[in-house]
Amino acid sequence: MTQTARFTDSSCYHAALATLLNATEPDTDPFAVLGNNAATAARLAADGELTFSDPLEPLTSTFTRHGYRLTHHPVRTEADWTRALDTLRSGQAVAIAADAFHLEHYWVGFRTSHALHVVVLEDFDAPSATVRLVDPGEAVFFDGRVPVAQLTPAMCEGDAGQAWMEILPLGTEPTDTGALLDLARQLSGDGGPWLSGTALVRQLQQHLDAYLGVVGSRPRGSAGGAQQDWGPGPRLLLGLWWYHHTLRWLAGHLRTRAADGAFGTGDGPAETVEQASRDLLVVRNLMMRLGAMDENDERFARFRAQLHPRLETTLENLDSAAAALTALAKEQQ
Amino acid sequence: MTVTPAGAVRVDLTPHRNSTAFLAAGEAPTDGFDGFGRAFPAEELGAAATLLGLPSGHGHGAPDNVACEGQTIDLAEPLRAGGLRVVGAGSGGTVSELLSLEHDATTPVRVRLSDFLSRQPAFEDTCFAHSSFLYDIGGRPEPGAQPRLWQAEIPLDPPVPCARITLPVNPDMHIMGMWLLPAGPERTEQP
Repeated sequence: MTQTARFTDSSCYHAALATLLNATEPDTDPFAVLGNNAATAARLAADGELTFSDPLEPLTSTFTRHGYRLTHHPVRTEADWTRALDTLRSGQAVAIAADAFHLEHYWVGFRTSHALHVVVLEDFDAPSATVRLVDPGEAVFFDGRVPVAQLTPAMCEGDAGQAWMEILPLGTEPTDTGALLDLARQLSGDGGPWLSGTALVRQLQQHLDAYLGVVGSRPRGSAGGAQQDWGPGPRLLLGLWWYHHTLRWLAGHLRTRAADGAFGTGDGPAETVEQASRDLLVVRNLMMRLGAMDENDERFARFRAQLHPRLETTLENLDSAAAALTALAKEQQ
Repeated sequence: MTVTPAGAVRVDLTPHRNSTAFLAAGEAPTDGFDGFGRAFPAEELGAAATLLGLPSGHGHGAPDNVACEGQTIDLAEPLRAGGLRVVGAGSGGTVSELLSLEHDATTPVRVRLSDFLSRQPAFEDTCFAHSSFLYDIGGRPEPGAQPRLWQAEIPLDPPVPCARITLPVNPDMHIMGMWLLPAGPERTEQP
């Protein structure tokens, strides 16, 4: 059996992709690859709605930069799922984004939520028709064999956006050219294909009441149908959750680079990025609470009053980190 | 569980406890740690309950922890603190917040605690207590989860005079116990 490192993380995407990367390239530091990304994955629709792309989109280009191809294969039919199983049979590990409702080991969502949950599969055993399932989620760590038949409904029933993913070496050298400037732009600049971090925070600041109203209309997404059918409130909370993890992993990435001496003697902007990720999580969690609270509750105003200062601090930290990364990029040119 | 060092002064959280994170077997579920009802089984706390100074009705609906909402905790007597020890956990993710130690001046002290459902510490905190199962939403025992209380110890160098402590506004930071570690006598330079 292939031994996969006992890596855990609170983001199932990052945890699973890091584990999959480790199964493919055991010597690669997952923070070096997955953390080299600061994209919000957010876009602003004409009506002011914030929409978030799947976190895999920006990560795909991050993997390419590091010399890997991360491929996302949607599963809409049993034939699509069979292709994932064929890949497993060939000895290659894959990650799957499965409907949590059918994942027996995943107590957080089993029989209660149709949210997507990402885990790693490897070591297909034909005689027993089982596969090794590694769920490196911090709260649910699981590493055991499960019958493939048990996974079929999680991958093939309904339309929750199920998919399988593989990571393959491209055979090209990693290219780090412009990486620091790209990160700076993603934090506070034009943001590339998505809103930059500061643009996202400013949007929240300027239209906070409207977004609180959106969240309050249905604060808890997991109670409803498939993740793809969630309303704008739960999708906003999910998008902010992902961006929090993106920043947290970026902080880890910057610490890794600092340990390699990239920033001289200091930690570089890792601490400011880390703090931005923490404040953003507090904002997101308070928005979720406020969405479920009665406005007459005496705590409502106290919690509401936290949002602007936290967003302001997030803005300052993102700006400061972007400036530091830009300065470092210029030094290195 | 870690033994509290001799001389540590337990901060009396009793008037400020406003949340119920523990649930006893057979009790109706409350908001729990996370507002969804997920709770740490009271029967699995053992001696930790006494060490934390939890109320006798913990697990039966009595508030057992402080969800941080900006409360100010007055100490019985001011002291010169050489360290701060906090036992608690985050809900909805890890928490990293500034607590203000106040006397004539205010000293912000960062306290970082892992999530109550994490199996490993996210920071330099250590496990204070853990349970073999979780009371999940609706009070259902969930053997797949092992909730934990985390302990963070922050040295204060130089020591800080403290008469009261103001907590941050982040209700996802849950504090079950808090101690100040008195600093040694202030040294004066000899000629």
